[in-house]
Amino acid sequence: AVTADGAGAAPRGSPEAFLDPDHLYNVLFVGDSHVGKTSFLYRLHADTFNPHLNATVGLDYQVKNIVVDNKHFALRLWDSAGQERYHSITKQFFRKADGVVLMYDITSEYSFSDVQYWLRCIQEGAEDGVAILLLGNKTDCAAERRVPTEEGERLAKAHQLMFYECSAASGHNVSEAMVSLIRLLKVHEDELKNKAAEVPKPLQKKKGCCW
Amino acid sequence: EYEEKTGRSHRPLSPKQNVRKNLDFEPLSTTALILEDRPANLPAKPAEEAQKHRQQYEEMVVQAKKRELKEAQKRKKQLEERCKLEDSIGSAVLTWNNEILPNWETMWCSRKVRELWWQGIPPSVRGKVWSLAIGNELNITHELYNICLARAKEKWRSLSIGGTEVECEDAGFSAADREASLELIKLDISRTFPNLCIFQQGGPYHDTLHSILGAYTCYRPDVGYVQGMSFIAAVLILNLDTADAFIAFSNLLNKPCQMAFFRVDHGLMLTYFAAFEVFFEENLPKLFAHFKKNNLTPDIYLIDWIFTLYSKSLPLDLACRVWDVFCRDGEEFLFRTALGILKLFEDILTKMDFIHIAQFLTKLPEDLPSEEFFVSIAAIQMQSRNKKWAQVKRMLIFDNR
Repeated sequence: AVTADGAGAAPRGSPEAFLDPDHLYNVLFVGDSHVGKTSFLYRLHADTFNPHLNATVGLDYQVKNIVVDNKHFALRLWDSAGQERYHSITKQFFRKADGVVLMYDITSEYSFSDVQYWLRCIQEGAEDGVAILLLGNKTDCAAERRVPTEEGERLAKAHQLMFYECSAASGHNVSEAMVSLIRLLKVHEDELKNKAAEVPKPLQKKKGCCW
Repeated sequence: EYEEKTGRSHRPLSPKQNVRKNLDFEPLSTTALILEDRPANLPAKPAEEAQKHRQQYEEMVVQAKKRELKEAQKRKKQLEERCKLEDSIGSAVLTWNNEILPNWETMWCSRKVRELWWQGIPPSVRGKVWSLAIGNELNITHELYNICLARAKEKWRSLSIGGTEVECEDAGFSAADREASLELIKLDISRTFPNLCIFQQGGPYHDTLHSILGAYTCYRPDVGYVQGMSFIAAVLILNLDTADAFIAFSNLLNKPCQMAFFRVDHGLMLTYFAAFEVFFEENLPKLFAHFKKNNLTPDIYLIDWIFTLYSKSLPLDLACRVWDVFCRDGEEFLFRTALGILKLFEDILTKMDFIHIAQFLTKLPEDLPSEEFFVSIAAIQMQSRNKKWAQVKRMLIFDNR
């Protein structure tokens, strides 16, 4: 049973009330320009498609509260601008991420071949063992599809990534993909805790500091 | 008035006209049906009930009249305010056109003009004032714009044919940086103020925006197109003719702050953020401490604000007023505006945690009150221990070396 509640639905300016989530994760969205990162987040938050979204400049932020398997999860979602030029700005945020959603556009081969580039960025910037979801967006544009599902699957398998195809426009697989990612993040967190329990000195958590 | 008219035409014919007369009110649509006698096939209304209905009806009418009166007064007041505003804009236009613009060099830095400037430049002269204030240090002519545009068009043609040769010969940048190429511009144009519906495919300014951004990548291939530029060009297009918009655009981007950001010169950007923090701490020490505690660095919100010169995060009319003073005071006003925003929302922000602050500041409320906003900016002191913005910045640059 999954219920979702977009924090942004609360009136602007009021700190929203999802007291004491059981788990809190930072999730970074990366991928080429125009693959649909912001649209995906908008769908996740408002459950509609907004065709009138401004291009992202630098970073955008969103909070999402979601109940999965009877546990309250708070997600801090970081939406990054896709242009490569911005990477020197956004790369510092890789370090803070517990999970990364790497998005491409199934109607654009370019965006798919750039997945390799983004994977390198994640490798360089993020902590080892960061949970990665490879997400092919725009399944509603079936007629313009240039990247077969199998290619996405193959790439995901080769790099051991979680894989989904979705559509921010139709809503197809949007919450399913996020719920799976949350479960994966939870598994990673549990593993980390177990490891920490084995080591006498508690494992140091990621530092929140930038620059 | 319209409602009243339609109400009248729908008025049912009543045998009890006298009831209506002493009401002295034209009922809207069918609300007065309650006063009618029941149809003949039903038992007649007891007098008591009829009386009650009359009473209730009269009460409703009185309430409605009160409401209407109140609304009429409100409308009148709004109209008066608007007339007053239009009058003052009208007289400001005259002052700008007849006194200031013809004597720009001697007058622009006078106190009187500076004060008028702060009130906001009337839209009809805004473009002219911006052009003059931004200047044309680069000496760009309309011809140069046309040359750059012609080159951009050549590239688009060869791109659409599928050849990449033209790209490669161009300073060696483009081939590697596919995104800096004209493809991304195309994608971003439709994502520039999509709500206005004027820059999108088929919209009246689609081609203009495309041309200016394309011409700029040919004029400055070393900078190329960077996301955020489309918003700046769009605001200029709304206030200037195409070639003049290009001239203002190129000169604006050539200013040190804009160059630092659009070339993503990380070191310099950090210097700007550090200088900003000096004034942040000075002006809003409590909020500054709260941000520090939450590890909220200025890049989180300043990047979007500076890259788009607030055009994305503020309502467009407010953004234009910020631009007005930015043209007058230069980069320091961008940071002063940022502090003004933080000051305006200080109480709310001190109650939020990291992610909510970030979310709030990148999506500012749409109904930002403009007068309070500028009062809040005016209250920010751009002086820290007798040092002005430029001095603080210079010191920080020096320290970094």
